[in-house]
Amino acid sequence: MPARLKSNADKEWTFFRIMQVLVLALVLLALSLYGKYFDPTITLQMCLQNPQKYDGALIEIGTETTVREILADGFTIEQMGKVVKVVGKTDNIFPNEFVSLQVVFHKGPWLELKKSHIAKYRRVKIAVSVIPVLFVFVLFFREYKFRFRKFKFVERRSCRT
Amino acid sequence: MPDLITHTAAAYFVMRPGKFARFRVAFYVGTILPDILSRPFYILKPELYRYTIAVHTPIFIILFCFLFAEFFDREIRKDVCNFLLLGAALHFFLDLFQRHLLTGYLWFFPFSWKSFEIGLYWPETPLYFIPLWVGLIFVIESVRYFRQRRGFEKHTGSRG
Repeated sequence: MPARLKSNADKEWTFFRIMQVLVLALVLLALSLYGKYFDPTITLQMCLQNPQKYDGALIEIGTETTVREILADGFTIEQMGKVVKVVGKTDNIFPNEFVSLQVVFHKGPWLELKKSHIAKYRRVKIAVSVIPVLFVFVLFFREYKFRFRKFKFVERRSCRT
Repeated sequence: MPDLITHTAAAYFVMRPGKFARFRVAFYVGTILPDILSRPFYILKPELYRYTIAVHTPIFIILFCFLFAEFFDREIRKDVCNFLLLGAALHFFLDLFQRHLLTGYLWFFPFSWKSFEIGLYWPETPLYFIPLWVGLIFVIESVRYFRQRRGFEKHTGSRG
């Protein structure tokens, strides 16, 4: 192949493609920021920062929330380092378990339990989920290699049927 | 989400036929993509949760697949993108059957904050089926191995 044609064929990172990649990356970033700033859900952290405003609000608590202690009339939960008391039934609730709760927030602060779900074995689920990630990672790099010079993945096997 | 063994096993059952061999791995990557792009961040740092709301949504994953496919050789780019998208579609299909106490997945993000789900099982329920999936894969791969070996022996036997 003549040198000039070859260099054109190799030049995959055209201005248009670079722009395409940048625009896609920016849109993904914008979506992430939109999710962060426009999510209408009232979180426990928001309630704890402004208890007066959210007094009596029905909220959902789920993000990495664990049971800390079982009490006579309920239990305490910990989320992002903050501990809050929940008043309600403690059936099947044990310390250190992950929980999802639907509660009414009361300034104080304390929470009135409406519904709960114990995410039993969540730690096991996270642990076993690492195995297929490693498996797919190994398979991926057995199938493709990254050529830094061309900045792209290419198949390892060049001849296929 | 079901655990990633369940997701990957489902991908394996769909992609086992030999005709898909070339892009099987891209399909597997697509299958685990929605979870590996979102979960690690907020499991390790829950404060980042709100940034990851968008990540586990169809629109984000579709665009991410387009972006990721740009980093592949031109000859395979379109196929890799298609198989990534199909893998992600399988992931969301399984997630659709889940049940949540709280708001579920935002299928129409960013156009709507409403969610719906069929609600057949809790996110942890598929864990009980992992031995079944692993056993099935073992049986399928064993049968395939012995068939191939028998075929190879027949082939070399006829030569000798």
